[in-house]
Parts: sequence; structure tokens; C-alpha cells
Amino acid sequence: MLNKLNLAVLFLYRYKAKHFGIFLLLSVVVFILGSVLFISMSIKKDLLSTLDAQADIIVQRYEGGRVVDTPQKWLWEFLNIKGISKAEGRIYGRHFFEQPEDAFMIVGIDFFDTTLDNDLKNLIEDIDISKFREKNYMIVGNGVRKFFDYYEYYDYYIFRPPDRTKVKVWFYKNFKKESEILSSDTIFLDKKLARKILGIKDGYITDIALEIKNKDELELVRQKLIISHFNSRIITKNDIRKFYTNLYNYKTGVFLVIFFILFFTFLYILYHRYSITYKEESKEISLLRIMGYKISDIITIKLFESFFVAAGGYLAGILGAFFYVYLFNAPLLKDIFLGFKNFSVEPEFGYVLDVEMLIFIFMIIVIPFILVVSYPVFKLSQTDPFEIVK
Amino acid sequence: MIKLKKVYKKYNDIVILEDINIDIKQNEFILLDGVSGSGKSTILSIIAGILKPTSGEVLYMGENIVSYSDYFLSDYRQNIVSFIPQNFYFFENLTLKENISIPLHVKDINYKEIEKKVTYLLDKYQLLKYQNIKISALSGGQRQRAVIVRALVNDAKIILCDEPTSNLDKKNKDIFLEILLKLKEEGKTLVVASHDSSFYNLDFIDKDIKIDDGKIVE
Repeated sequence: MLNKLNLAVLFLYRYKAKHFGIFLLLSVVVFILGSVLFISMSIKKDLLSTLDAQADIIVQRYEGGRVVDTPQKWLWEFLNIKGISKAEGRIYGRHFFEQPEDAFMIVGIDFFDTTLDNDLKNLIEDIDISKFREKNYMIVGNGVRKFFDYYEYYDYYIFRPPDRTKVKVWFYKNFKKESEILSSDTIFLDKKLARKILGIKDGYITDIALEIKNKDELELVRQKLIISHFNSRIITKNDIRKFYTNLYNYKTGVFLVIFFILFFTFLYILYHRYSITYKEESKEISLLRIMGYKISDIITIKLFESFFVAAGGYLAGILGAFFYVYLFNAPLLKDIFLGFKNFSVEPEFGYVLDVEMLIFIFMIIVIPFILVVSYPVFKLSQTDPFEIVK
Repeated sequence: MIKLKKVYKKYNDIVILEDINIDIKQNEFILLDGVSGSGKSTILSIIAGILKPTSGEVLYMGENIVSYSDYFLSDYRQNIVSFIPQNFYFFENLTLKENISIPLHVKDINYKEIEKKVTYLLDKYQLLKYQNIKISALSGGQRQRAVIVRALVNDAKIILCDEPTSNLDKKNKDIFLEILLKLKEEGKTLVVASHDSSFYNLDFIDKDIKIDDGKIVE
């Protein structure tokens, strides 16, 4: 077997330019496919972790068809509705930075109340509360941090609330999350400070997060909420899931276009490989047969040969995609998937290594490649080697 | 050693070989002499197990190889006969040494043994200094010796040569004939198909079989 492996390497070396060409094309196919899948896996994971961290129901108040701040007293009213186990008033909103013309999400956190957001729970656990409350501190997503660094705000930033006062807020630390796509543009502040900066009056909150103990009662609670508070908008976890799915769904179209390009490129590779085998290798296969090589020997050698090219191309493509997405943050493709201005900051793709996905790419690229290449060799090796003698 | 008994070969109802009977004994030098298209190459291919006759028997040590499966015929070509095709086909992008070693890669022997065997034969046929040169860069005479070395590397008992001198000049032809003589002295059985007059009246030829239009005429 080792001798056959050696021979396969020798044969590879013979057509090194052509094999290298196929290797490169295959690498590019795997690279693009791998990059797209790495990105989509990253987004998917981020979505799922974000959804998991969400409350079961969010209630917003509507006035004249627009979202307005919600009265805090609704909290107590909701707690009287059977089925709701917890209610939390949230303070958040997008804050527009005048000079650099960008907006980030400001989220207020209450250290003395239990939150329904699991991400916030984890964040609070890591904070030294007494230190955090010594002065105005903020915890920022990595994207926000980069933004401030760019404008040379290394230690603090002075916010301008609606009353035009100045509020100096110091950086406490960056917000770490498994993936940064959705949390990258977030600034976490103490609830009171967030209220001041966002200009939310006392007695009001942005919206209300509710926990429903029995998830089967979710629809029933939703109906009760609509009946009791007609001017409310009820958003369930499922609604948020649909929203995010729709947000990224159109990217599937882009993915399909890329995939078809890949597919036709791949067909070309196979066709090219097929042609080489037929035109250039027929005499050599006959020569091997004359030397006493069995059909199975020739197929084994050719399988090794194709496997080296295919597996090499696969590995190079996967590694390339890995570094491209996770080290270089997928320039170009990131814009396609996340949109040019969906995020004002650079989101980072969280590291996801899904073995099933790697196997999937291997199955749809490497296996067909080897099979298609083996088929003509199998046919050729069965033809009469006498052709070479004539 | 090898007997062809009442061998016929047809291609699409065209008779290529008709009633061929040849008895090849061990260490014999047989010349198949005839014009192009007379059927010499077909006889060599049948002896090599590359081609099956339409009817008749090819007996090696009493066993009819015509009934062998492709699997066993491959073993037969691997260990018993070596066939040298007319145009000395090589793997042109490989070096001389790599080309010579190819028949051994299919055998269950280790790399060192392959190396040893190839080096020994290349040295014997004054080709060692060219071992790392691409085969395509070798001269006609060197390629001719290389093809002999390749045929010998698997220790074949029978060497079959198809028009081995057709593309050689006088000097290289003489060298080749000397090599054939040495091979005979070493105990090899040789069957050469040629219409080159250089082979006529060589005293080491045991049988000169004239082929004409697919039949043995003398």
C-alpha cells in the first residue's frame, strides 16, 4: 500500500501544474462555501443565544400608532394577571452621537432587581457593584469600544442628554459575549443614568419584559394583555425569532447565488479533471496494465491521487475560510450578510466550529470529486491495453 | 515453456492470425519476422496476456493462460513476462529512476529494496549517472537501454520486444543486439518481433519464424 501511495505522489508530481490548478479551484470553492457557512453559523448561534436570553413577552405602549414610553404602574397591573410570574421594567434606547453621526443602543441595568435577560444576568455577576456605582461607569460592546477608540475617547465620554447638560461617563470594561454581532453596538449603564441620558421621565419605562412560567399559557396571557391594555403591543419570543429570521432571510438568496456559482465552478473542475484522465492518461494506464498492474491497483492509485488533491483543497479552503471569518472578520462577505449600515460598528463573528458542517462540505465537494474522477479511470482501466501496442 | 496451439485471432470477421503454433523453450531466442501488419505484434500481445485469442491455447508451463482472469493475467505480466512496446512508452515527466521503479511499486517490497534493485540495474546498463534526469531528456539509445532495464526490473523470465530497433541508428542497434545476447546468456527467454535485417543470420537466434498475413510461412 505504501508503494502505491508513493506512486500516487509521483503521479501527482507529474502533472503538478494541472493538479495545483485543480487544488486551487477546489480551495476557492471550499473557501467561499466554508466562509458563507461559518458566517451563517455564527449569526445563527448569536440569534439563538440572544433569543434564549430574551424574556417570554415584551410589552410596549402605543400612542397614535407610534411607540412611546410605558407607565411604570403597568408593571403592578401585569403582575396581577394570572400566568405572569415576573415583570421587569426596561430602560433602553438608541442614542445618537452628534459629531461622528452614529447611534448605539443604551441599555439600563438595575443591580438590585432580578433581570429576565440572561445576558444581563451574566454581565451583572461579573461586576463589582460598589465600584461600578462609585461614579458614572459604562460597559460597552467591542464595536462601541472600537468606535470610541477611533475618536480617541480612551477613558470617558461626555453624553448630552435631552436637557443639554453634560454627563461624563467612564469606561468600566468591555462587554464579552460568545458572539458580538448583536451586542457589539450596546452600551450598558446604571438604570438611573440610562434614564437621564435617554430622557425618560420618572414613572415611565421603555417597555416591560414578562416571564411566563407555563409556556403553554403564552397565547392566553397575550390575549389577556391585549384585552386589559388595548394600546399595547405584545411581542413574544417567537415574534422576535421571526423578526431576526426575516432580517437574515434575504441573505439566503445571496447565498444561493454564491452557491450556484460555486456549483458551476465545481462542475468545470470535474469536467477538466475528467478530460485530463481521458486524453492524457489513457496510454499511461495501458502501460501500467502491460506492466502487470491490476484494475484495482490503478483505481487505488488514482483514488489516492484524487484524494490528495481533493483533501488538500478542502483543508486549505476550510482553513482559509476559518481565518477569513474569525481572524479577519470576513471583509466583503460580512457586508453582504450583515448589510452595509445595519451596524454602525464592526461586529465580530463568534467562533463556531460545527463538525457536522465540516462533514457536510466534505460530502458535497470531496466525495463527488473523487467519485467522478474515479469513474473514467475505472472505465479506462478495463479497456484493452493492446491499443498501446498497436 | 510457452506453447501457442492453433491460435486464431479475428477482429470484426477479419482474420488477423490463423492457425499459429509456436513452441518457445526456456532460454530460447525467437525472432518473429514479417512485414508491418503481418500479425507479429498481435502474437506478442497474446503471449503477454494482453490480448486473448479468438480460439486456441496459450500454454505457460502447461497451463492455458487464455482461461486466466484479468487478475491472474496481471500477476503473470508482473512476474513472468515483460513486454517492450514499439515506441518505448515512458512516463515522460518522471526521472529515469522513477520510471524504472514503476513496475516494482505494485509489488509487496519495501522502498529500500526498490532503490537497491533499480540502482543495480541502472549501473549495469551504464545509466546510473542519468538516474535523476527526466526521461524525456535522454537520447534514443539511452531510452532504449532504459526500456530494457524497466523490462528486467521485475525479474521477468520472458522478454517480449516489439520492433525494438526501428528507431535506432546503426551504433545503437549494435549495442542493443549485444544486450539481447547478454540477456540470453543470463538465461532469459526472448521473443523479438522485427523486420529489421540486423537480426538476420545472428548466430544466437534459435528460431526465425516468418509471419505473413497472419500465418506462419516457414
